[in-house]
Amino acid sequence: MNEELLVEGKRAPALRDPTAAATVIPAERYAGEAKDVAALLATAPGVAVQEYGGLGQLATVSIRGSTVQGVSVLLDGLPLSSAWGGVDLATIPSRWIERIDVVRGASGALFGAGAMGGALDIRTVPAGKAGWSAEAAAGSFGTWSASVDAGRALGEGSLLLLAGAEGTSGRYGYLFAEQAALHDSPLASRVRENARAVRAGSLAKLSLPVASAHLDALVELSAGRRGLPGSVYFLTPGDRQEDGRLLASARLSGLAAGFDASVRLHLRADWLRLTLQNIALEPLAQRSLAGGLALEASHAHGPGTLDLSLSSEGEGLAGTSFGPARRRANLAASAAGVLRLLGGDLTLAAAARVERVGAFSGASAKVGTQARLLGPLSLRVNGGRTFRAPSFAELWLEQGPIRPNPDLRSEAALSADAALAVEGASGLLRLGGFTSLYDNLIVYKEVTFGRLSPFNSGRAVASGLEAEASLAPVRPLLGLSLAASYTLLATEILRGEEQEFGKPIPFRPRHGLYARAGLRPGPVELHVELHHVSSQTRDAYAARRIPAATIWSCGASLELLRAPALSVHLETRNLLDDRTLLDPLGNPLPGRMAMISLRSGSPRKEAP
Amino acid sequence: MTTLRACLLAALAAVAPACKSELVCPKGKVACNGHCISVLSDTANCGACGFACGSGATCQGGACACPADLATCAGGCAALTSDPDHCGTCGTACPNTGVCSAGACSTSCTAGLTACDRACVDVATDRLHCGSCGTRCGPGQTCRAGACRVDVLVACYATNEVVALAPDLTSTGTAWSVPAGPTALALAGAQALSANGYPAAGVSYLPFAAGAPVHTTGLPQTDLQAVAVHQGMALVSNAGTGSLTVLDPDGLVVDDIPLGNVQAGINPHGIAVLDERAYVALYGTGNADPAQIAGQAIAVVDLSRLSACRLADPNGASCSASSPCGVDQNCVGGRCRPRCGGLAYTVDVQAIAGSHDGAGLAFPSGAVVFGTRVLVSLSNLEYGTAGGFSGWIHPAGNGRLLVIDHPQRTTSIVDLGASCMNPGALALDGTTLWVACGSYSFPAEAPGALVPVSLVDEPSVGPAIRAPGSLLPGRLAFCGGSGYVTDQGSGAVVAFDPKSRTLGSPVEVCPTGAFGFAWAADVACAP
Repeated sequence: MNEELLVEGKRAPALRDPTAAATVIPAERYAGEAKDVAALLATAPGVAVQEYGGLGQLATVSIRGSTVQGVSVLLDGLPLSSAWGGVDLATIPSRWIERIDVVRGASGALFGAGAMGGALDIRTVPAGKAGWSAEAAAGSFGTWSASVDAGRALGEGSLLLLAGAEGTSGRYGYLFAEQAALHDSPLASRVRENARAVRAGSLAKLSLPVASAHLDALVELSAGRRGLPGSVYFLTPGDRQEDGRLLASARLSGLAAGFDASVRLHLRADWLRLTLQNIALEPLAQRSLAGGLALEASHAHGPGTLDLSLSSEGEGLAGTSFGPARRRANLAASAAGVLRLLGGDLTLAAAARVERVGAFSGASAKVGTQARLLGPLSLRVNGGRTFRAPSFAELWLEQGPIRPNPDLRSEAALSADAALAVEGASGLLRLGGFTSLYDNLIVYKEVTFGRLSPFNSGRAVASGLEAEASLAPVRPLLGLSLAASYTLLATEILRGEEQEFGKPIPFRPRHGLYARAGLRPGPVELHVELHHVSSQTRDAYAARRIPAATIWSCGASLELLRAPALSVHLETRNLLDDRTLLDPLGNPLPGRMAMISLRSGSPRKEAP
Repeated sequence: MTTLRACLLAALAAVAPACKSELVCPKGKVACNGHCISVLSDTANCGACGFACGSGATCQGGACACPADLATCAGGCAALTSDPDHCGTCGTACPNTGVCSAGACSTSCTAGLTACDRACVDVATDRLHCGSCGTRCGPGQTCRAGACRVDVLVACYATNEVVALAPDLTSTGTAWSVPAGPTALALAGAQALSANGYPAAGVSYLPFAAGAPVHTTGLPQTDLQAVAVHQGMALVSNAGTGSLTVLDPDGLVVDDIPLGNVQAGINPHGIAVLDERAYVALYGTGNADPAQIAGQAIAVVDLSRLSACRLADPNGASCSASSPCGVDQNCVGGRCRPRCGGLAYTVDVQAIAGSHDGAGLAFPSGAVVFGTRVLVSLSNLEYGTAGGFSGWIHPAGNGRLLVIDHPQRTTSIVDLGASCMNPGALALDGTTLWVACGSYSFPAEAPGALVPVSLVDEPSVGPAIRAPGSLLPGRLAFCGGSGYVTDQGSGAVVAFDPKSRTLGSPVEVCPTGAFGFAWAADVACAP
């Protein structure tokens, strides 16, 4: 969160939109705590993370009640994608991450079509520092990770190489209700099988002056494999998933006609192989490839800045159950401006983007303002609109019980929010309200018994409150620091069948609370965390529920050496060993889990 | 939620039209006060929202009308044969001391009729005085042999309702809403039971008494395949949990009997109860890995303690999930009570010679009892693809019938012939077993048919009756010499005369849901 940067005495990194409802999550703050991307996101307000089994299994995110597909996820500025439209957070190696900007509200004007609930702008560690670091961790359920990175000067530029791997046996115990229909069913101890996961990846970043311009290039490779354990009432010991991703981009930037101009080429390739033995005799495969070109120009003049962008991308997907190879061309043009008035006390921001995604066209826009009211007190107000084109799967996937619908239209989102903030050197407090309207939502409905097709039948509203607070370390109190975030989310289905009409959107908890307290007496750091997620419905009829979950975690770290740095970390999640935790499908989540990690590294120096 | 909407409207005044809420109703229904109503048949909203029919009238085609045996008099419905205020003709009132008998005022009732409030009625057939004076039959019921009986019930899966029909399959205007898609029905005295599936499993109790509320007991998962009533207890096969759930007459879950390795996808389907044993067809699953194939078996459940588990002992030991009861006891409502039954043994159908062809799996589904025999349909399917859907859906050969001799514990297989691929539901009409055959995915290879099997001696397969058009027989029910057949792929039900072996025309009794989907999932009728 922003406050974490403030308390570390660093300048908060600039957001693309200074007026946006946003939270910055610095991964370094949680270094050594073995937090994956889902766990990092769960610290921010407005975010609902769903982990389907945990430990390397599917994890998704919703912002402000949006669908999973309604959150844009960008990795180093490149939008991630999947055939079904959502992003599996478990496929993003957390060790690469420097920070995540969580932007809430309709953000398509800045992040492209799809950012209906918001966007996650994930930034990996930069190339500009020389030095090395390494980390190794091991813990419960055969969970382990290892990573190493090295940066060095390369002439007047710099090069960063990073590699890492992580895995788990996924064999955790759980309590199984053998007589599930009985409220007081006896519970038997079982062990989750076929939930193993392993993932490895590497990242290379190059930053280099080229004549009067500057070249930034990156290549990211990751691949993983995991077992798919199935429902506890229908174990699938032979099912598994393998996936891989290649991201590559090169940006050449320089000054041209008074503008900071850049041209960027990018390439994204994903592959997925699913072995679902009860659905198909042969594994199901998908391959997607996307490549594009973006021209960007930025101009600062007086109190204002103007950013212009033109981009084009071609993407294609081939796979089992998709019929012939599917292709589409995406084009976008955007403009964003920021105006700082009254000596910086008043900031106005506006952005607009027109876009064509395959056969679907749409416009996104937002306006926002931030005004300093009195001393450290400021007010921020935003409004925006965006759309999402149907995914490849929604349009064409014909697999198992799923039938496609090529006649789908785009979804649309409107959002508005306002917040008050008090920010200072000793901490911050933000409190805001929001409302978002989602229309033409693509919802899967039964078209014959047990067979589903998507329709633009959904309309829903999400409103609520978001609060975050932090207290910088108080040195006289052993470096006590506090941080918390809270979300109140009320959702309602505005369009639907009688049984779902007026009901809350499934899997959207009404309350979410994250709190953390830390002490740093000298070389030792101690912290305790609380996560609470209230009960949530599992279906549109609100007939079944996931019970509320309250999870305590704690950890400690000890700095053993300074040069080279060497520290040891111990982290315990689900401290009270709650074995009743369920994922969105009603399957068990892990109980208490301990991880120990060792980190080492040389002091970082700025590369020339 | 009203506050929530108001908040939204205030915040997004410029886009207020987009905030409009909209109840999506199935075809043929309109939104009335937040509910989807069929204004063609609803007596409280006949023709339009809020237009209620008068006393005794029903809503037929959107207009209020009196039943065929009643006349319209002064805005209400009157039985001219017995109503003392409209005796013979509307407005003809009998003297205060007289009765109306056979349409004429008299001092006493004609022989065979009973005087009920000065109306001479046949209590064997009168809906207002069924069996005795003042015993009024509920909506959707008729009075037969002095008892109120529902005629035909159909589970309409896509619209979450169970509808009551007259024997000729015309609407009675009576329907019960249930919280999820109903998949199976059973009759239990003064009420019907509906086993509901997606999105939340549960058993709904549908009372025949007018105005009595429906109550539902929620069950885990989303797939209930069959419900049966035995000794007043409901037995439900829960495909989601691999168990046979037992509910007492009040809807309280008193036992949940695992039917084997419940984590393997054994997928229980049809139930047949004989003596103190329940035979549950374990349909199971197919799998690319032969070692992971589950089911294709019959779970035989010992129900000898069924009556004992029905009664709670208020002095039973207290219990909870963390403080369980002893062996052969369940913790129900915080008190230990005897278990209703347990798995006695399993019949491995796949291992029985002749139960399937080559690469086929037996897949038992429907089950009935005849005498001392239990009869189970075996689908005999192999892996295949149709319409983009892949699975164990392709007929591997002729359908089979498994015959279990209950006393002897022996089994035999009957080949149902080439006219019966993918057999499913079974129903008895006297000594004839009727089998519903046909594949939704492969209708050309496995067309719809009804196949009779004579059970007088050894089972003997008779000539099949080819279903008309695209009809694929789903579930069956027989009563009063008539049969009723649902379609696997639509909301249609067909009347069937087993004697003349003729099928009527399909009647669309289940409305099409909001997404073009109608399905008559089950049919039941009172004998």
